[in-house]
Amino acid sequence: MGKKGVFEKESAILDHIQNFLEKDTVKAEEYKEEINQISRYYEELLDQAKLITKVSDRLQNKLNNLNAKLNDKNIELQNTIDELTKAKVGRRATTIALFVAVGLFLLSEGLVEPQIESYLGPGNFGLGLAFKGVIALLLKPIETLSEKLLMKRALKDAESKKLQDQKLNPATP
Amino acid sequence: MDSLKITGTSHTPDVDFNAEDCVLSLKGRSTPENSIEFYRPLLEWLDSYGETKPTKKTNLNIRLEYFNTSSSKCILDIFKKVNGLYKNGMDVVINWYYEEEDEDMEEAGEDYSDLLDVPFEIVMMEEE
Repeated sequence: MGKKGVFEKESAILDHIQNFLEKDTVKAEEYKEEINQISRYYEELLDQAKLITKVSDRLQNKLNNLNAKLNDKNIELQNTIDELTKAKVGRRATTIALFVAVGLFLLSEGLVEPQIESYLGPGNFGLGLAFKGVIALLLKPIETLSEKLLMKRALKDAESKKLQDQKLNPATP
Repeated sequence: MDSLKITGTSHTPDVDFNAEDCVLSLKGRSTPENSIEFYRPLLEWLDSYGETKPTKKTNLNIRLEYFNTSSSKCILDIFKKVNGLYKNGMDVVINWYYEEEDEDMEEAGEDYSDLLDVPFEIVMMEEE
């Protein structure tokens, strides 16, 4: 059965026909009977070919549909991952901005305001307040900048992880 | 007669041909590297099963999720063998199961049934 695979029976029929054709003397009735048999085999083979082609096309279609579904799910998953990364990066950026603001506030209280007082004299609250206002206004740009930098790093990390995975498993697209 | 049991893998279906109960089941995915090597024992088992002339009704239950082209030929060979048993007077039915919304598998069953004389039931399974 080996080499002829799933078409073992059909190959045997072909061998039989070829052996028949090698015969030197064949009666007319024998020819007729043989052609009748070949016609039946051919009909059966044609039915099989039609069926296998149809079934194979249907299953290919099923596979295509599953692939399309898988692609959609992949996109959905990637979107969710992106959203999660964004949220994570956003939280970290807010924390960083808060720490910078606290640092600047302490700097203002401990260093800048005493300097202002020593130069301009006590009771000059306006400048100190203005400095704190600047710190408050800087909060959003610091947060945005941190977010951008962290996002850039997260994308770079994801890219290098992807490359590493591809090196470990070259079959993965 | 001994039953034939083959545990399925990711490429081959689960086979449970029970001669005592006259229930023959093929379930799972069929994409073996060498289809005829996998299906040959099933075809040989069916020959022996036919020789025992079972008196009970035989049910051949097919629940396949997916099969490759060479498997489709082997499945046809199984059906033809069962068809032969039916023509020899054996009480037999083929039950072709497909999952709800899996039109491709349903139509594949219809394609097979068109070529056979044996009773061929196409049964929808509701999704779990």
